[in-house]
Amino acid sequence: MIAEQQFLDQIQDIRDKVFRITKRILVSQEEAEDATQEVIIKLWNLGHEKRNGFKSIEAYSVTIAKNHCLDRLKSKQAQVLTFKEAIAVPKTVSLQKEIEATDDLNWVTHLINQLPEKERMIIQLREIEHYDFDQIATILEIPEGTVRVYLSRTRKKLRNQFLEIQKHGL
Amino acid sequence: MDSNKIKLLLTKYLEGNTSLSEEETLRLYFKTSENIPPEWEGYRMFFGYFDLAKTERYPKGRGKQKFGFRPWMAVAAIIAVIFSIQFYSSKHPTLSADQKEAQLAFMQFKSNMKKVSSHFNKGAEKVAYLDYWNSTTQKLIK
Repeated sequence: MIAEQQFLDQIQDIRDKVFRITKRILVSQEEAEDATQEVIIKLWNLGHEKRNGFKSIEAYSVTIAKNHCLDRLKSKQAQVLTFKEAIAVPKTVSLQKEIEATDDLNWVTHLINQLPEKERMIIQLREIEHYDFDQIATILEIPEGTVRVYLSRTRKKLRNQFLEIQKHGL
Repeated sequence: MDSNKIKLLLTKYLEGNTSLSEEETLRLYFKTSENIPPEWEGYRMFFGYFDLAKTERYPKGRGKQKFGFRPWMAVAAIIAVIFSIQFYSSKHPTLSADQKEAQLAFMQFKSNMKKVSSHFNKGAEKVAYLDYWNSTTQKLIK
């Protein structure tokens, strides 16, 4: 039990990151919690030595989280759930007290969550988790140049969509 | 912060060519500046959202809820099993000797009646043959 507690303390930051990333990909809060649990269990099952042998346990964790989520998305059931919850997103976000300009942030959440999963992932990894290009390339298993291309495309897309909304309203 | 410099950084940003520290500069600018040009309003919102999104944490105590096993759960499970056995047995009481005999008698009666009805059907087939005989005789009479 003590070893388990130590392990959980050690990976607390990683767990939060994995949770945010899985939630970005899966959209659903519950599915993200389940996915995070599974990643933690996988890490635990590796054993102490193997865990410490990794160059970056964080990059490894995020990579298995990503793979797990993409598998989940492939299963049809998960897709239906994601779709349902994607519609419900603005409502759940508005319930969070700490958000001040609720409506503005709803827009942003909505704009990001309706992107294809690859673009959602890249926004999460760069803009929110602040990984450098090298790390993102490792996690997504694509070349660094491709990361930049995707990122640029996604940023432009979000900017244009925002300008559209600003011009014409929702 | 000089807005011309920000403008340059934003162009670089859209091309995916800013470093993490340059992006930090942008983040700080949009977070702290008072006079942001209206055409940059979108950037201010996005950077604000990114900041907020980073503070989200894995819900606390969930792991315990999911995997926690408490002794009272075992007690509850045992009680549930006992009650369900009692409930089941009260709905399906064990048969007494008399009831078993009655059941046997009923089965025998049932099979006897089946035999009787099959013989009766054979008889009925013969009667149907008579009908055929009738129609042929009528043809002859005509």
